[in-house]
Amino acid sequence: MIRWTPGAVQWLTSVPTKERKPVDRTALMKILMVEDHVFFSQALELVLGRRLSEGLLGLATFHRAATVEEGLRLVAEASPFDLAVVDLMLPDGDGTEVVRKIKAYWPETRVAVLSSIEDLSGALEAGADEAIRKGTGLPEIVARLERLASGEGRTRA
Amino acid sequence: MTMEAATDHDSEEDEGKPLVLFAIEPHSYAQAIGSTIAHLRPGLDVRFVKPEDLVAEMERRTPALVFCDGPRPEDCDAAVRWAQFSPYDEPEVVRVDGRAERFPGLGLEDLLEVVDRHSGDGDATGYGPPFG
Repeated sequence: MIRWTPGAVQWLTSVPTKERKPVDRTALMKILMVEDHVFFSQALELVLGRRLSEGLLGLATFHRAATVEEGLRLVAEASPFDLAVVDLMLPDGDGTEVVRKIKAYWPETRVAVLSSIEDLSGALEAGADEAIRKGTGLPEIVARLERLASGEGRTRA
Repeated sequence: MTMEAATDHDSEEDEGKPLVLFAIEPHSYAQAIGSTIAHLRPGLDVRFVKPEDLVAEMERRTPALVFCDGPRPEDCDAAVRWAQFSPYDEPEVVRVDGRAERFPGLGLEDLLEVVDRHSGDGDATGYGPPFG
């Protein structure tokens, strides 16, 4: 159980009261995180999960993979996901393979790729809906993932 | 200089707290770790800073602990604990004042442990990691 301290990280998690609508707490959003830097995956889950539960989309469950192999296994065994966040640079290969697999079998799953590399065109060609560089600040990353999770359109890196 | 606080706390209130600086690239990593640690350790003043602005920020106020992806400068104040962490070069190693500590599958709880041991935060709750 995470214990939240009052007022902490409001710049990442606050949603203006007037924008809030009643949340269907029975509708769990299912999110796949394919990221080998565990601490980043954990932190992103924490912040994004909090943002989604405070916003319009309700609670989320996260499924984590740290390699292409694990990611493909989760896609095969635990799909469909509402949202997938995939790092392109993984220890055992290119995350684009995971993107391709998801889009081949579950085209309705919204996919965002994260990477430190400059050229994200391959992932977009593979079907990713969002391509975000890790050099982008965390608030922007979270905001773009939240917009994607809500079903808004694809944007470029 | 680009420096951001991890929380919305009043700056005067933060002045009395041990300062922990995160100067790791990519910046989103520094923000992710720093924000989470700020959540869990309200007794600390946690800030992110671009690596190129680190020296200036340390001159402004001496930190208790610095997380940086580069080595400790030779003229760094001896009172500052230096945790070198390079997520891409050595993803499972944190070098604290030059001594390597290895954390297989390094997660937030490991980084929190480093902060607890080296930040001088007397209010650390000591409860377990947030992730099971």
